Amino acid sequence: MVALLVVVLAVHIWWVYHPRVSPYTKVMARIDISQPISQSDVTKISTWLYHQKGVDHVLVNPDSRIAVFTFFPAQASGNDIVNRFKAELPYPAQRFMPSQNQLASSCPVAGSSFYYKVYKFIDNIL
Amino acid sequence: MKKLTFLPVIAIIAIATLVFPACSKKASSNPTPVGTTLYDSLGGTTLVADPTHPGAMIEKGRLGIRNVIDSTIFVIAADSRINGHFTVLLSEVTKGDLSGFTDLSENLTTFVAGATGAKNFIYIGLSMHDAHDPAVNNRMNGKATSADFDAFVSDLATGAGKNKLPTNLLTSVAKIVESLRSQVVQM
Repeated sequence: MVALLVVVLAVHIWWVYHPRVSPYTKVMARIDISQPISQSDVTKISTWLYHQKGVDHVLVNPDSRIAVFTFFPAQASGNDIVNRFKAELPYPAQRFMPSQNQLASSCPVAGSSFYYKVYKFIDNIL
Repeated sequence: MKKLTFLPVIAIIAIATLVFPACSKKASSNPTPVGTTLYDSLGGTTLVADPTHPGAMIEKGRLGIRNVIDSTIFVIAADSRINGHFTVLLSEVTKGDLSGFTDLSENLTTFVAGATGAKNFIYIGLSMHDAHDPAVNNRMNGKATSADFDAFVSDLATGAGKNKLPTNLLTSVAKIVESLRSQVVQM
């Protein structure tokens, strides 16, 4: 009986904590463009990205040559969108994916706080 | 995404507010009319439908702040001056159904809501000083410079402009943010 309860608890904890995607989950992706872009290019790139299924919001910075967009992973894959970008638009570009070290040393705002972690643990259970 | 519920964790929040210097204390020390906080001016506690979560309600003040924060996050993510400090934005789903973008949006929104006088949202993260001190927060990959802070403020102003935040409210928010410079910039 105790073993069964432990198994149930383990399954519950896994269910609460395993990464999952809901229809509302939004992820941000970044495309680095390897050539100078004009305002006209910004408009073209923004328009193209907004036409991709699953894309929610787009911003293109011509100074840094960076395009960032959020998309719903339940509807689209970031890699697929970037691959189509490279195939259909005349801009040499790569998706920027931060390394694990870069992610670990990046601002999570409240994430480092002990109290925030406790709060999120309880919130996930509830 | 789960709707945040604070009542069940009121004891933890009470402990957190006793231990941490409350950002809302800074907001309450600003000269605003009695009974009216900056949060009230930004929309207050009136509940409205949450456009990103059908069926859910959200305080109008929080929604307004979230819109500005989300726009600002986009500007930051494309700004090579400081986007290196925010690569977490690009992380995929890590826990529950929150991605790095959603997590940062929620936390920054809560921080600003608390700082502007919201009563129903209290920031329980690290203090701004500790959060930006590499000796305390190992996620901080070096101390922030004044130029970094200037870039953040500039991006915040751009994000606020995209949401047509009235100038007087932007000025009030900017004062709160500027008051944090000495805590954030430790070089």
